Amino acid sequence: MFSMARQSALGDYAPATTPWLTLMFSSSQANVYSVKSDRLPVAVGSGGTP
Amino acid sequence: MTKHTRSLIIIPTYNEAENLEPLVSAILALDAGFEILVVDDNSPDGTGEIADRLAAELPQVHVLHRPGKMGLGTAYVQGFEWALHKDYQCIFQMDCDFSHHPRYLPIHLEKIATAHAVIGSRYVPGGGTVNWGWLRQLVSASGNFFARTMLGLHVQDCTGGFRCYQREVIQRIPWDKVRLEGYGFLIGTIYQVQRLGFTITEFPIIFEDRRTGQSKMSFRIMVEAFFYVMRTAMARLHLPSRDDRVVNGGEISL
Repeated sequence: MFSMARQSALGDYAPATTPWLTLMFSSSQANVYSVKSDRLPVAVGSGGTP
Repeated sequence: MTKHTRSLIIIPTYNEAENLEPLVSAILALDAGFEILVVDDNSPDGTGEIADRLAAELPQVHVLHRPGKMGLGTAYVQGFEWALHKDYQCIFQMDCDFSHHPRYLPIHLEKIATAHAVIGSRYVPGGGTVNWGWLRQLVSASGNFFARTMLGLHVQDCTGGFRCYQREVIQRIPWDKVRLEGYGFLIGTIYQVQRLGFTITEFPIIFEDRRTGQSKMSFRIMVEAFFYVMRTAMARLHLPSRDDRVVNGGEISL
């Protein structure tokens, strides 16, 4: 199992300033991780290059 | 930067089942030491399962699963977060649909040795697009002009998403100021890079329209980008950027 806190990676930009992101990853198999989330902000449109 | 530099390419996916494996194969065929992180938003077409299989077969491929369609911006930020945690030195972003062709990746790697950020650009001499209608060209060019003018950006292509950053850049960007879902995220990111005084290099690419699958462009994310630019431009009137420097073609132009 692998997990990490957001603060360890993004320094000052801790959860308090980016509550829109989840904070933990977990690994179910080698090289495969899942974002742990109890909220799911849904994006209607999410990409495309103008 | 060399083959031995730890380089990660972040590829957000949503319904890219037809493109993912060919793209991964093309990147790894370069034999340039790239590793790949697929950030999949629980694609209904099975992209996530394909990514899992590739990760099981290829040690260079990693997968980050998200529970649903959460947007381009958060996909990149979470990919960046993962990349920093894993100590990659060069962090790339590119689309999965072959509009950003892997043949340009070695050029990125060469340029990032002399700049903090590198953009594969459609709007520098030698760059361009193919298979685009006049309306899309108009929307793209006017959107770029609008964002560049309003935000004082020195880069020519601020909405393109074929980029490479040195790790320090990712560490220093205040991501809470770039809370955008769509391509506005790309504008916001490069604005922050310039504002922090990092050097940016552009080199020409030919942007090819996606081979298969559907674009995720929507009116909503165009509105999001418009209001981001307006809001940031207004804020800029009170807080001008400092130490803006851009490197074009390896030479400091500003």
